[in-house]
Amino acid sequence: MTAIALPRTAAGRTGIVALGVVLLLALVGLLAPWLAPHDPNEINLMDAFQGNSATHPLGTDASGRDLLSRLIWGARSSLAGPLLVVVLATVLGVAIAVASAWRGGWLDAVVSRCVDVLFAFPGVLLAILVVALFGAGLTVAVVALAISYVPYIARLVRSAALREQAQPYITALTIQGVGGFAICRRHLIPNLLPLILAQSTLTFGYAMVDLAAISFLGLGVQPPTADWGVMVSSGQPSILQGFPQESLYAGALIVVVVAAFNLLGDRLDEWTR
Amino acid sequence: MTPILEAQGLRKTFGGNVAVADVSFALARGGSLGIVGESGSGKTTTARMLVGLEVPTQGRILFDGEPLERARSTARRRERARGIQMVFQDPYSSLDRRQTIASCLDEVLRVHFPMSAEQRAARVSELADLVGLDDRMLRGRPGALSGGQRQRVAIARALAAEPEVLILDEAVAALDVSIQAQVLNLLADIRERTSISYILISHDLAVVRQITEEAVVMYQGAVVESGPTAKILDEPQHEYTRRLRASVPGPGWVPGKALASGGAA
Ligand SMILES: Nc1ncnc2c1ncn2[C@@H]1O[C@H](COP(=O)(O)OP(=O)(O)OP(=O)(O)O)[C@@H](O)[C@H]1O
Ligand SMILES: [Mg+2]
Repeated sequence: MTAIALPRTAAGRTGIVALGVVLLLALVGLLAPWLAPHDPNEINLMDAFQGNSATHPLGTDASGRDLLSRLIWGARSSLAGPLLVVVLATVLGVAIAVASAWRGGWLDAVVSRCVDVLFAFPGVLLAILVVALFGAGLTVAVVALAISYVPYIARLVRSAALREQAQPYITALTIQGVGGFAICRRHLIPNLLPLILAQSTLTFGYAMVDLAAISFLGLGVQPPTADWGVMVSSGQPSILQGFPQESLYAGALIVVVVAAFNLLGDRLDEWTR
Repeated sequence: MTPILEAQGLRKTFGGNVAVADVSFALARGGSLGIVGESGSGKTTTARMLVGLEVPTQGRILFDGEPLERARSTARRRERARGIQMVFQDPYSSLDRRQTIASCLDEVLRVHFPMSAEQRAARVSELADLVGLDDRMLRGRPGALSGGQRQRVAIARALAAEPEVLILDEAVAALDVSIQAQVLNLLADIRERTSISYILISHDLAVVRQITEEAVVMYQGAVVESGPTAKILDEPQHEYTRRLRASVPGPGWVPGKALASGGAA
């Protein structure tokens, strides 16, 4: 990979800003116990639908829970969920892609067919189906979504691996008698890493939207756990009563994070070309 | 004396496409054989069969008198690796850009020899010395090296397994003429010191003349002429060899007589 110097272009700077936003929100989630002014689940019906005030900077929801605290705590599952999806999908996708590209033959044929078939199904639909079968909850949603992303990652990485392994340095290692597993682990995958990283970053954005959608449908993170996707959904009735804050703030955060990851992914993609 | 490497009636087809039709030759222990021929005449395919990257459709390869079977296990592939090694044409893509030169050489040693880390480090410096690379280059990555320096690394890497035969497929073709001369000198030097044998594939007759004693001429996948290099280049028998020679600027030019090893030259 080329050395990453501080980017001087405007596009490069937006990349840095995007990275800053993401890191900041992750930090907020990590430090939630210290940052949140209230217990995110403390119900106080007397305080329902409060406006902005010193005690509740962003107001309260229908149950009188502090919105700021819920948003802060919500950063945890809202960011950790997509992260788990991305890690799982990437590990599986890369393993399958590299094995199939390296071995070739019948394994590659079978994998390619399976990927094509899975490609025909929209990822979220598949995930919703699985969640409906195995029960709602973050874990099931994460695993189901991860699996539905595997074909996308596998297809991309497989074609890159095919290109990379045709390089003479890989042939040289083969001629040296270095084992296939060692070549893949020490040379092939590390050389594909910039591409994999860029793809994972873009995938994070999709995972966030899809997980929020699943939670919105009540199939993902379960209330009363604070989660941005859940908040968008549980804030709905309040919108009708003229209090759109809950859905609005949570939705805005999701949009910001997704935009940041997309920007970041695009920048990484450019850097690694 | 049995030749160290012998090809007998090698043939390779890809689908209906004949890449190598009929190739036979023998490489003497400590000798140096040139393979010349125009682009597409099957030189690289022949080399790939010799190192086990392709399985011949017909014919066989004898190493030290023993037929080489298709190496299926890693152990067999390593055994073969210690027999025959290869250096590629493109010095830019034949090294892992993420790996330091030292670790690139170390990796080969680790695969082949039960050496301690210190022993390997010592051997890495020795190999670097052999091909004229300094410590700073050893610590760097390929990106920091010139084409000629990279080709030295590729040569050192190929020599790390201490093979008996080194195949050089257009190994100097991508280099500047002066760097080419340096690398060719280096190769002549190494052969003098280690009794290794070379197969030098090239379409550059001057290069072949400089470091080989025997040569075969390939045309459309088959050997059309073989014998001492000087004789083939000076008194070509086959029509194709004559044309090949005529297409090279300044035929009859004998570069660096002092360098051409004794024997037939
Ligand atoms: N894997 C392959 N599949 C199909 N055809 C191939 C394959 N490898 C080589 N060939 C064909 O075999 C013929 C000989 O190719 P080869 O690379 O051995 O020639 P060469 O003498 O090394 O040429 P050059 O001087 O350009 O390197 C060519 O026509 C080539 O297209
Ligand atoms: Mg070739």
